[in-house]
Amino acid sequence: MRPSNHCISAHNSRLGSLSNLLFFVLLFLSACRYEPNEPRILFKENRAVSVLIPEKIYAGIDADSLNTLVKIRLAKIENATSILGEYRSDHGLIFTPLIPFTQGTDYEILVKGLTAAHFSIPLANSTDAPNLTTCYPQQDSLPENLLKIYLQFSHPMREGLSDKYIRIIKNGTDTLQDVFLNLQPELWNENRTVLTVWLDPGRIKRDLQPNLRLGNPLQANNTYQLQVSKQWKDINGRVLQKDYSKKFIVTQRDSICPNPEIWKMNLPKSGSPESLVISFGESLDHYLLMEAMQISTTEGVSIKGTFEWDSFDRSCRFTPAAVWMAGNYVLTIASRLEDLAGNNLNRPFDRDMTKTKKPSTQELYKKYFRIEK
Amino acid sequence: MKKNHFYFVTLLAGIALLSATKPFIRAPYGLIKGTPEIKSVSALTFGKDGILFIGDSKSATVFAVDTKDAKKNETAAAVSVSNIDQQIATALGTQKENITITDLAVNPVSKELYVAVQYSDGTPVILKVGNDKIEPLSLKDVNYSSIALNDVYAEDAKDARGRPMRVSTISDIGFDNGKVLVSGLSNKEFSSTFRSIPFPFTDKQDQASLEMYHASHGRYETTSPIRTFTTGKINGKDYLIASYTCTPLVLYPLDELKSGLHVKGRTVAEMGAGNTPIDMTTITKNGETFLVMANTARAVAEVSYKTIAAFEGTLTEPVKGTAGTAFVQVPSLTKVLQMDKLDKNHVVIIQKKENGSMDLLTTTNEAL
Repeated sequence: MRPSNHCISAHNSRLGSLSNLLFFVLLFLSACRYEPNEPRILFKENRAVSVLIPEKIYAGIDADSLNTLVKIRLAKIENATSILGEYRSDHGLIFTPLIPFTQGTDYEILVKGLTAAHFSIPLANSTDAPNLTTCYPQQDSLPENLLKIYLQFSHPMREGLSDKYIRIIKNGTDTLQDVFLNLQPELWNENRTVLTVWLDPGRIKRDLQPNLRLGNPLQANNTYQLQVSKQWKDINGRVLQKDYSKKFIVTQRDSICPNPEIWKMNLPKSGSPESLVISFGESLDHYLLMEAMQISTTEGVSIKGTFEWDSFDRSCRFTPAAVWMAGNYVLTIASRLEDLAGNNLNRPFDRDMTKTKKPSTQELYKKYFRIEK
Repeated sequence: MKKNHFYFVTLLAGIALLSATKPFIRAPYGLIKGTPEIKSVSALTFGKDGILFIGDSKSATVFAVDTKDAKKNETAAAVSVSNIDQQIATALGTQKENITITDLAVNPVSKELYVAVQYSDGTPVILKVGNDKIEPLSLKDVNYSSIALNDVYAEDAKDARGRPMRVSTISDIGFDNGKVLVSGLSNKEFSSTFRSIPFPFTDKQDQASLEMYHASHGRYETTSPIRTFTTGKINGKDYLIASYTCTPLVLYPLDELKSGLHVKGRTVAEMGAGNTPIDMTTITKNGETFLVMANTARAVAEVSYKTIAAFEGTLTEPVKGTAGTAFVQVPSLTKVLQMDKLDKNHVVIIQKKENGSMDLLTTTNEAL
């Protein structure tokens, strides 16, 4: 039986090799099916960055004249000007426009002023449509003087459109007007996946003219709905998978600064890899939290580890990379850490500078703790 | 003889070495040749000799690029381009809804117009625009330098993985007396930054904290972000002239804007709430100097420097409506999106017309 098995195994192996060979031959043939009479679009990161124009399309034109005699322009537009970009020869003529070609758009190639070929850029694959993954703060109970909202998307989004697609509805009926601070350019992170939206600070600060004229954007004891339209497109032109809606109730104004002195710490024992848990007693700003804290020994040696925050940003958990050693430690907090109303460790967001004392200017706050044996 | 032969060979070798070494010619202003990695163009301004400063919010960097566009031209031709957004979109091979014009700057030497455009996927482009002309400014193999905008929080501003989380968006950029001036705001805190960066770039940049009394708001505010600014001489002293949302006009002495200093501005005009200033420039007409300012919610406003100079106090009491230095509005110039001085007698603007078209047009100083 064994030799036979071996034989079958060898046979299978040969079959495997043959099938592999067949696969590559078919792949090669399919690659060869590209008929070099047609322009071919070259993609990079899902963007149509160039077009390869085969030689047959511009046959007979001197290499030095290609830049002047071959042009690309929008199709179906009367007297459209040539598209700005660069030409280079590489197994044909490659044209790279200044910006990528636009999806769902038709283009034509002119040779000596006459239409020689057309090409179209397909629409983006909608199966990989973007999504609004999270809106911070995540809780459904927010202070009247909520200062900002972060919208986190799954894909890089188009900029400059937030006022068109974001709205807040009060008690299910009234669409609020002029609640957001109109900022151009908008505040996107570098890869355009997180947008910071400010509720108008002029309306939040009491007794300011916008506040007196229009009132606070949100009022306590009312129900609101933040809505984001699915018509918002990502950078590849795909709309969101669905409309986003977040319902929340507004509570009283928060005018008190976060105070690390009253934060509670759940301390692990020495020799333990367990997490240190810090409870803030209120929700803090999601993104500022991610950069505001550091743990070190009182001698200044930084403790490596990871911070994690609960979904409402009311507490954080620091898990050390190594087990805790007995000794004295310090949690250092940047003073610019804010709560949901923009109150930071040094000053409340809304204060009359002519009446209140000068706020602290310290950049860091320290909270000491000890890990016991 | 042997010794002489040695010297001769050494001399020849030295000459050969010198001739083989490419002479190192340093470009002016410490620029080096290369291709700057510009991720966005939020604001443009020109320095001397065709040096274009590009404010890149996405990489929190200011680039200085030698445009080689330094041929002196005293008087510019009037520029008029209807449907400028459509024309630019067509030249880029797309539709106008896919582009945003982010800034306009005139090269004061050549009087050429430079327009910053952003495609919907974020790709930035700078174009030279004129009557019947839309050309790209090539940023390939140019002489350039750059400076990253300092983050005052340095190490402690980084997240657990050591990555900086902050984004400083550049709201406006200017050049005055050898310094690049940059106003910005943060995506995390409601805060204003103003930097003064000597050019040629070194590792030095001053960041002062500014305080102004916002009469429309009725209180001092240090945190409001400057939306647009210019510089000008008032009573013989150089000032930063800044404006904020709800339109206070505030003067800061330029020589006081130094790192670590807290500078109190003098609010000389309150030009009304419910508005955001877009652009500012200084013009001269009939021998008198004026500050002109484009706005989101109202027509272009004009203030005489003489009246600013005459207003010696500061607005410190809450006002309703407008107060302080008098200003006039130019009723025909509403919905002005971009504005810059074209030459000593003209201003170039991009305006959204009532019929929906976006036009680039030139106006004389007298018409303002």
